[in-house]
Amino acid sequence: MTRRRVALVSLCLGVVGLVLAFRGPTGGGAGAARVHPELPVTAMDRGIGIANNSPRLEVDPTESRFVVMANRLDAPDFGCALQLSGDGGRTWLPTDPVPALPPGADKCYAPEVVFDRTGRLYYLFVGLAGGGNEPTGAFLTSSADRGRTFSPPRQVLGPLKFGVRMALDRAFRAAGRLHIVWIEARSDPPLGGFGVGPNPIMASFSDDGGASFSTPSQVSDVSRERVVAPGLALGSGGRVHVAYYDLGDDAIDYQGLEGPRWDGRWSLIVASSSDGGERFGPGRVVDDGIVPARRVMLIFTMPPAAVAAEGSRLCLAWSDARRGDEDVMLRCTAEGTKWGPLTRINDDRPGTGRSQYLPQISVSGRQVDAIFFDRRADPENLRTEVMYAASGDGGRHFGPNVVVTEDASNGRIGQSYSVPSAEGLVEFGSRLGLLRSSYTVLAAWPDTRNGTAPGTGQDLFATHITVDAPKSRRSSSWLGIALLLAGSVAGGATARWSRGLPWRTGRGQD
Amino acid sequence: MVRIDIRRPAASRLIACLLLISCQASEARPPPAPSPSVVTVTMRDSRFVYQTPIRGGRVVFEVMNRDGIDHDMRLQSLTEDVPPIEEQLRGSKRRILAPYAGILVRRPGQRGTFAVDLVEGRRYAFLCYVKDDTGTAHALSGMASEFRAVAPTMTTVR
Repeated sequence: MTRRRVALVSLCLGVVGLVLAFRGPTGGGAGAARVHPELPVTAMDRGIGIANNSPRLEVDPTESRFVVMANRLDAPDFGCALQLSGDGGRTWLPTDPVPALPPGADKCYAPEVVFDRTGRLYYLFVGLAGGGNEPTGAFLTSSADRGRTFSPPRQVLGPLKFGVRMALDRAFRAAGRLHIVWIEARSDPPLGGFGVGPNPIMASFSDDGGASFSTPSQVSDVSRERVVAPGLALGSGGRVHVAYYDLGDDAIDYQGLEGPRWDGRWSLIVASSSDGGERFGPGRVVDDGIVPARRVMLIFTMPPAAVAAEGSRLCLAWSDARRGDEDVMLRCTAEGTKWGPLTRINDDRPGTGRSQYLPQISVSGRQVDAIFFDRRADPENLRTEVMYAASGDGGRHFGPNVVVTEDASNGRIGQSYSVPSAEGLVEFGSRLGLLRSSYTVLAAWPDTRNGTAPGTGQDLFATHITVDAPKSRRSSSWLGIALLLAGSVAGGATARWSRGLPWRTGRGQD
Repeated sequence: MVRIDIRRPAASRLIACLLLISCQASEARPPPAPSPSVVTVTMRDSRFVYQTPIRGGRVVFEVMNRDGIDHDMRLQSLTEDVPPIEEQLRGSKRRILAPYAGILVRRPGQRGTFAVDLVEGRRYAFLCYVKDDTGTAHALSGMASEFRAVAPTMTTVR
């Protein structure tokens, strides 16, 4: 065998070994999960009763240890906050992204956060004003020094914009593309609900870091009159997905009227763009049989469906009570056309009367991670834990649910609103936080374990979940390492051999 | 063994470039972010066991019940006119202390955790309000401990 052939074989062994040993979590079944002890993110003060909820997690693409969490406050007053971690999300300190409110805004609320590819942090918030907490606009600020200082907020949306969401496509052209979506109220909403529709869902984008935005375009179908709770996710190749609920004939929840739980059906719709948000196609029905478990507490802050995308894969998760009590459901599509089967993520016995709700998901290849609130351990359906579940086959099947929280939260502790739709309900926020990197998942949630009812104090807690590689993956990893070593040894032998033998030219001979 | 001859110009240039890039990358940005103090408090033999000093600023308390009975832990802020906590608890005139922070009841072996923002120079006390068989709160039997938050210092993660 010639030295050239040996070298070629060595190289092939090494490449194959590298791929098998270090490939990311794609394909195969989900591995076992190990939950680390959680730590609080926010400081408590029982005398004030601060309600922190709705965390959103993002990691600096230039420094994986720098993780941020944007969250909103619902008590003692509405507000916005930003938490920073320099150790990958284990411990946290607050920073003040809005030291001075912009003119016309009395409070900041409902923040969003993203990083561009240089590590610049963008923080978007809604300004509220007056006794009615009317939204005066959406404002954008940014930080280039990891949250130490922030630019003066600049208004990017006008008044009466609700449910504002932001995402950034770092791979789009040179500077990346910043996307925002929102509900455009066409009239001043009365207390507790929207005016008679349509109040469409709109989208816009910026290619210059928020200095200017494109002319807004309507995302929601014109024929759908009661669309709410937009969610936003970005795939590869300029794919933009906007999910929203169509409440159909449910004027009671849409307008915040008095009345019982809606006994009709809602639909979950997703509208997608393949050109970076320039144009959106007609809405595709993800599911049209959603049974609401209760009244929508406050339509303006209704939790959107969880939506996550990677490449051409898109997954959505939501809660509905079609099986008698509230379950967390998921549906995915690959290649952007046919939807996969409807999957129930929680694995407790159906119809127990105990709720699972507020899911958050992430997608990485065929791996789908999910966390959600779960009350299966409480016959009173009040004490809330956080559960984790993973799928290794694109969301078709999920492994056993794993309890994340060491302590359950009291579902009666939090802000309540004096509007008809919110009677008897307590606000726990519009989302949970989830961040996936390699074999670690970072989860964040609002928690009331240290409080007593009645009260409003909600603290944010976070923890890491280490996901072991599935057995098939571990076997292939060891094989990969063995091949890599074999390739290295063969390569080394070839190098030594080369000192004694010249290269053959032309058609070699063994 | 494969040897890389660094006398070769190409290899030397490659190594120099890699070193230069790594140096520039590490100097270009400040450290990720500071971290709060994490203080472990052990509840054992009906006492709070922890290391001092406890610094002002953001503190995360991790509380472990290593005792054989239930305990809770409440953190109270004490103004300067409040007597030392042991004296306050045993005195005939007890001041009403505003609720601040803490954990609910922990069974033996259970863990609790919470975060607070301590003010430098201010007095604080840990107290257990779980009652024994006689109906007496553990704090009145000695499960109380006072400290003063000292000057804060942050650990910078690099």
